[in-house]
Amino acid sequence: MKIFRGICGAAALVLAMPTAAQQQPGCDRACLTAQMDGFLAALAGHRPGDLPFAVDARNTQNEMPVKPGDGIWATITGLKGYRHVLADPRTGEVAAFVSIEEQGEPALATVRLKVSGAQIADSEILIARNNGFLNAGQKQVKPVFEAVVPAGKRLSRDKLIAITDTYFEAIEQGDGDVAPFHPQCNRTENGVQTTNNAEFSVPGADSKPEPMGCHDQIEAGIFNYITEISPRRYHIVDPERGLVFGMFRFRHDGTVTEARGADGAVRPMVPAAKRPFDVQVSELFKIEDGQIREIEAVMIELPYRTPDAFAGDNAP
Amino acid sequence: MRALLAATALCAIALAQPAGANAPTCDRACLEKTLDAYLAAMVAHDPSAAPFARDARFTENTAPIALTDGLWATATGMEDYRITAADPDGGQIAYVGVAKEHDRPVLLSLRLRVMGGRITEAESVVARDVIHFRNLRQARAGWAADLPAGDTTTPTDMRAGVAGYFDGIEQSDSSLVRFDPACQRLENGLQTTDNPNLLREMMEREGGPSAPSPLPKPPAPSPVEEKPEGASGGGMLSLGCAAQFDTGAFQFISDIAPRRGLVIDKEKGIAFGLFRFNHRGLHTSYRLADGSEMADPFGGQPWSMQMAEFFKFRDGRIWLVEAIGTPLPFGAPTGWENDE
Repeated sequence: MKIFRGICGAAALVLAMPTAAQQQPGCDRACLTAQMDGFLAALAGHRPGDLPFAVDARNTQNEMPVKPGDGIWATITGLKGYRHVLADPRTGEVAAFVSIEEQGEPALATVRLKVSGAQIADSEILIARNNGFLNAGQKQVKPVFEAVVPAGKRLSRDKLIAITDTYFEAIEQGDGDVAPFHPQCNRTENGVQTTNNAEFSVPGADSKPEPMGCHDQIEAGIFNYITEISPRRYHIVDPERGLVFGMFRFRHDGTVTEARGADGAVRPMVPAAKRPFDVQVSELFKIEDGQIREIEAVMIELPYRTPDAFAGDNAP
Repeated sequence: MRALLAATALCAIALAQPAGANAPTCDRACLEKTLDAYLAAMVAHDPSAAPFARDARFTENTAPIALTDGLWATATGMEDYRITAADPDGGQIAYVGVAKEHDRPVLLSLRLRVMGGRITEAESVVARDVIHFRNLRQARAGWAADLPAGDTTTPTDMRAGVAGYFDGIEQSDSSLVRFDPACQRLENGLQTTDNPNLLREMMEREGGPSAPSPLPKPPAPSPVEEKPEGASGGGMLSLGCAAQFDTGAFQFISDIAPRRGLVIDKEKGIAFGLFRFNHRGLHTSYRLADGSEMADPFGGQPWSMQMAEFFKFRDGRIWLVEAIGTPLPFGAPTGWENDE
C-alpha cells in the first residue's frame, strides 16, 4: 500500500503541477458567487461544455452520479425568481437554493459547487420536484439570513459548526433542550414553513393539535422516526453572517412505531414513517447570539441507506 | 481451529474458481428450502437462522445494508403469495411474495445465490407503494406448474424472449418479441393489460390515501392522464401485451439498462431478471402510432425504476409477466455494478 501510494503520489505530483500553477490566491465571495451564476446560466442553457469541470469532477443529481448534460441538465426549462447564494472562500465552496422550472413544472434545487483552482471539482445538485410537498413560489431571501453580525459578536467557524451540530443531536435524542433554539426559530422545508404553521399541527401536551416551533416539535417526539443523522457534511461557514450550510443524511430505519413526547405522551407513528427510507437534506442555519434562529432546507427522499456520494468529506 | 478455518476460508475465497470447489450443490428442493429459511429468519429478525456465507452480499432496493436492517428489521410476517424460479445449475433462486411490514403488506422480490449450501448473494426489491393486493392473494395458475410434456420452450427461447421484450418496449415494436396471444401482465399487483378499469383501480388505494406527512415523496407512478378514446386512452389499457407495444405508449421509457441477474428455470419455463427502467424526461408528450398525442405520465421528470420481472413461457412465447418495481433517483447504481 505504501509503495502504491508512493508511486501514485509521484504521479499525482507530476499531474498536479499545471493545476497548482493555475491556483489562484483564492476565490473570494464575489468570485464564488460569479462561479455559481455562471454554473446556473450554463445549466439553464443546457450548456455543460461552457464550464471548466475538472477531469475527475464528481457530479451528482439527487445523490446519484449523473454526468453534466443528463438528468436536470436536459430537462430544465428555466430559472425562476428565487436564488439564495452561500459562499465560503475558506473551503472554496458555494451553494445556492434556487427556484427552477423543469419541463414547465416548478421545482426547487440546491446546487453545491466546490471550486478548486479555476475548476469545478464537485457539483452536487438536489432537485425537489412537486411530489406533494413543495412550494417553489418563494421570491425573497429572508432578511434574517443576510443580516451581518457585528464584528464583536462573531463566533468562530468551529463554534458555529458545534452549535449547528447540536440541532441534529437534539433530533436524534428527541430532546429539544439539547440545542440552543432562539425563541423565534422557524424552519422552511422545500419552500414550506413547517414550524409555527397550523397546517403542520402536532398534538401538544394536552393532545390538542397545535402549531409548534423548532424546540417544541422535537419535544413532542414528532421526529422520533428519524433514527440517525449521518453523515453530516459541513460545507460552508460564514462567520460574518453567522451561517452554516451543509448536506445531511436523515436515516429512518422504519422500526419506530410510536412517538414519545418529553411530557410522557405516547402517540402512534404516522404510517408513512413506518418503513425504512433516507432523506438527503441540504440545510442552512442562521446562528444569532449563540442560538439557532432560522433554518432553510431543501430535501429529497432516497432509498434507505443509499451510500453517500461524497463519503468522508467535511465531517465536523 | 477457528483461526485455521478462517484462514482456509480466506484462501478458498482467494483461490476459488467460479465452477470449482464452490460449485452449486443445491438442487431445486434445497434452493426452495434455503429460500424458506431466509424468509423465516427475516421475519424472526435473526440472520443467524439462515445459512448465510460469511461474506454474503445483500442489497435492499439497490442499497448495501446489514442483514439486520431494512425489511429484516421491520418485517412482521409473510403471506401466502409465492412465485419462484429455480436454476440449480447456476445456484440461484428468484422469488416474489408478500411480506408484512408492521402489518402493512409490501411486495418482496428476491434473488438468492446459493453456493456450497450457503447464501452468498441476496438481492431484494421491496415495493412499498402497492395500490391494492387483490391480485396478490394467490399466484395465477401457470406459475407453479412445470412446462407440460410437449411444450417446446427452450432456455434459448427464454433468453431471447426477455431480450426481445425489453427491446420491444424501447422500440415500440412487438415484432421483436414472441408473445402468446393470451399474454397478460401484473405490475405491482395491478393488471396492466386487457384492463379497461386500470385507471379506476389506480385511484383506489387500499386503506385510503396515505396519511399526510411532511415527507417528500419519490416519483411514483401516477394515474396516466390519457384521453378516454383511441390508442392513448382507455383503449390502450384494454389491449394485450403485443398490441400495447405497438401503440407507442411506452415511449416515455428512454431505455432499459442494465438488464441483469437472470435466473432461468428450465423445468417451469420461467425467466427472471432485474431490469433498470430509465426515464430521461426529455419530452412532455409523445406522438403515438395512431397519430394522437400522449402526455408523459410522469410530466417529464428524470427518474429510474428498479424492476424485478418474471416471465412464464408457453411453447417458446411469453405468456405471463409479473413485474415488481420501486422508483429510484435517476442514475442510481444497481449495487451490483462489479458483478456481471
